[in-house]
Amino acid sequence: MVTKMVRKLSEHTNLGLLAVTVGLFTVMSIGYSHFFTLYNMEVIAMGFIQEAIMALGMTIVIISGGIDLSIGSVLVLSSILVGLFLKADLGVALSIFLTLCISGSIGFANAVMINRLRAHPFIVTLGTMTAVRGFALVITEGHPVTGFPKSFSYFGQGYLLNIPFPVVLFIILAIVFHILLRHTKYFSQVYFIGSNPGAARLCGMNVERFRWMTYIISATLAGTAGIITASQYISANASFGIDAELRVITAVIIGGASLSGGIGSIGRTVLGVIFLAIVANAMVQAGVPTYWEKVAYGSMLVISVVLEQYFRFRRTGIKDNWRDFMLGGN
Amino acid sequence: MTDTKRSSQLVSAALQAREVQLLLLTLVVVLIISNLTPNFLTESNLKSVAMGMTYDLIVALGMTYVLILGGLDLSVGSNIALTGIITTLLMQKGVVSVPVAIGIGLSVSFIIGAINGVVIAKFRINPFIVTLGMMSLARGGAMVLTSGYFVTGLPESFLMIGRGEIMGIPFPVIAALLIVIVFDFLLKNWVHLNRAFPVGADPDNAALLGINVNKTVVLGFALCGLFAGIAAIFMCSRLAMGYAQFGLEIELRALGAAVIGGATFSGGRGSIWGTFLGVLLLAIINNGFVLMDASIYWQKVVNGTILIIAIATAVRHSRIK
Amino acid sequence: MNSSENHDQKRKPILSIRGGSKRFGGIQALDDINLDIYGNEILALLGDNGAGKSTLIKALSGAHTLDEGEILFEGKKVNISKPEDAHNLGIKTVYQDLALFGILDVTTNLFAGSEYTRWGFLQKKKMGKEAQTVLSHLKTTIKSLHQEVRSLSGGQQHSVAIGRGVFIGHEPKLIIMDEPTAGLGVKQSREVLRLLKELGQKFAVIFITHNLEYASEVAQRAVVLCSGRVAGVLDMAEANHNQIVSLMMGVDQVVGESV
Repeated sequence: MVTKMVRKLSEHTNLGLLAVTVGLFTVMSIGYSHFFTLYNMEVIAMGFIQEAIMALGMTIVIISGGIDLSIGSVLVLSSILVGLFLKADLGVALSIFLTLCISGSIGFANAVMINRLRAHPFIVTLGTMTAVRGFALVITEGHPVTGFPKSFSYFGQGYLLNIPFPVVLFIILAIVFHILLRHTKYFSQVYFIGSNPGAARLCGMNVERFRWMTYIISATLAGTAGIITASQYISANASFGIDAELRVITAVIIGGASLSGGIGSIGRTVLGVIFLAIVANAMVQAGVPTYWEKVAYGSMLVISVVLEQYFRFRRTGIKDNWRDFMLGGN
Repeated sequence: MTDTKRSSQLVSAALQAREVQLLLLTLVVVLIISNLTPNFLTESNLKSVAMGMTYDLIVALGMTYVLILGGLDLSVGSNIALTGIITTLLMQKGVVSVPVAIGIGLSVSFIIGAINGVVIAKFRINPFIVTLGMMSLARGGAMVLTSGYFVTGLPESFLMIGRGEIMGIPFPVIAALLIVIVFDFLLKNWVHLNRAFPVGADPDNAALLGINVNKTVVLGFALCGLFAGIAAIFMCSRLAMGYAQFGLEIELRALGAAVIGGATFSGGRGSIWGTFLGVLLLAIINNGFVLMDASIYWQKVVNGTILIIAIATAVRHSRIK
Repeated sequence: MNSSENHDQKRKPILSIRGGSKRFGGIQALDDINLDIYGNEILALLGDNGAGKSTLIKALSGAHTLDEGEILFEGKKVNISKPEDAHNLGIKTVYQDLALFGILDVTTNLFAGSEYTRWGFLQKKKMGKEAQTVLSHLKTTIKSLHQEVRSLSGGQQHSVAIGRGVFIGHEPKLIIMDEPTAGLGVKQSREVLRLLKELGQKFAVIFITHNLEYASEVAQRAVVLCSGRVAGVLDMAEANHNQIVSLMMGVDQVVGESV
């Protein structure tokens, strides 16, 4: 009975990570009296909410065999654009709509370039990452954008049923994408396309068209995160979202997605996100200097990919060919 | 075959070479900028262009090498920061003498690169993700060591490395040129470096032919780290400090320059003199922006756009199959 | 089989495999393989897809290691754990996909991994000369040695791969040709067969093929693999098609046929 439950659970989530997360949570709750409080739970959730939302899109991109480094830059640009639109009196709804459209079109541009140039998504999105952040700096000339209308603050600071609005939004988005990936024919293609694009193409799937969709979702979610950030701070600043892509990719990989594509799920990513959110908060609670954060995220990223690769090798007994992981066309 | 015919064939062959095309393009850019502003062709400005491109050039050489191997290294900028901090901290505290501090610094940079290489080769993980992690790790390490403060108060003998001049040319510029010449020669003629070409063109075939691919990859990434370390020594010495924000985004400029110079992301291609011209071209364009008082933020856009254009042209040359 | 007994009396094998086995996960790719290859003979290695031909070849060329069993080379037990070991012994392989570097030039392709060096420095002139000799020996005309290999015709690419596999680097003692006629036209295939015969005069050659006609034309003996086991060793002069096919298919004997 228990083993059956464990097996069932392991289909949906990464048991090792679940154990580590619960362990960390317990240790922190016992060791630090300020940790397990309703207030701190909210701090944990809100401290990582942008990354959490973006991780949903990144999950789809990574399962499909791609990667998106431009999300941090899209976040910045969207926070600035929504501010500029609001100041131009376009109204909240229209400003948000326009911002999301522009964010989505950056994702579209990424996908088109990957398709057309047959270049590795790493390189293409590295280019857009620089160009978009540069563009954000150009339009603000490095100054923060301020003076948003009061009504706009709801998206970052408001509450729905006593839960912060961004958290509610994240939960809804996570459920929606979970259902889409698990239960719709169109979205479940992502697993075939990610594990073998050539075979997927032979089965009549439109890999190029599907890629549009994945990168548009990723960029639009980054735009959403940007709007929430702007609303949280009631200002926008070109230094938002630095290293966000690193934290997001780490969360997705720690959750159990594979960079080689075809493996991963929304459920696993949510666990990865919760784990990193707790780690970030635990470091603050334990008084670790903030400079350690970069060290922590960098090493967690490398260690998680190394472990993933190690277990894959143990499972299959086959070492990857060099062709399968070095750069080169796709 | 007549002489004129042969010479015209020679000219058209020369025009096909990436290096010649780049040289002509650079000359055109120089002509445009020097017409737009009188401040370009002055001794002090040219010196500052030369000095400014030195760090990028040294880093770009290592980047070219890992691109030939079919990889890439995003951690070079962070490597500069960490190596610089360790070297300057050792000197500031007077723990060891200047040469020993430099030796330790260069070893650190070499080891950072070697760790990249070992993780990539041993666990067969995409170099992008490994060096992205290392980028964060090393930058974080530099911050942890200094809490974000500058490391100053360095011995005079160390500062002379960056400030010394020979016949009016800054010492780091001369050193960088020497490195270019020697590295170009070794890459073309020394078998251990030259094997980067077959390894990058097709690592699995190279392994079948008895080439030790793991060794070549680890050595290549270690070398790329070492070049970043050399750049760090010159940078800290010239600017008289160590700082955790040194080398930000240098990986993007180095990548752009190497790709402009003829390297591709699919490996097996790349030229040292091409990379040299790529760095020169980017440095002149950036200098033009500064002289014409354009927003420094435009430089970021231009760098990103150049990278994208370079990719677009580089992909046409990538491997068949 | 009496044919191999004859060989045993005459001379010693250059390479022998004793009890070679290899598993991949749950699949037994090679199961207790025993075979001998003699100098100056062409041995055809026959078998259906998945019979274990390529696993066997990879074990000899160092791409895989055997889980069990031993390899004897010139009577001594050897350990072939990486391609270098095979090269050093003089076991040279021409791979079915040719394993060329498309974007590199002809000379680099010929000498990759076996460069001529002095104090670690490449001897480019010497390599250029040698490349010319090898290519002219193979009766191939290639305009320039600085040409990218991917711009060559299929036949020319074959010559480069064979030239590299046979004539460059360590003196070959055993040459493994993995489907050398795959993807070639009739005329080019004949050219390859002519070359094979020539090589068979001097070296031991393992010739892997699907084409029984070619096998019986050039090979003296054939080893037939079926589901990872040696189904039979045949003297090509005495064997006939039906017999070989039945061995390849794993059927005991076709009625009415006998050795």
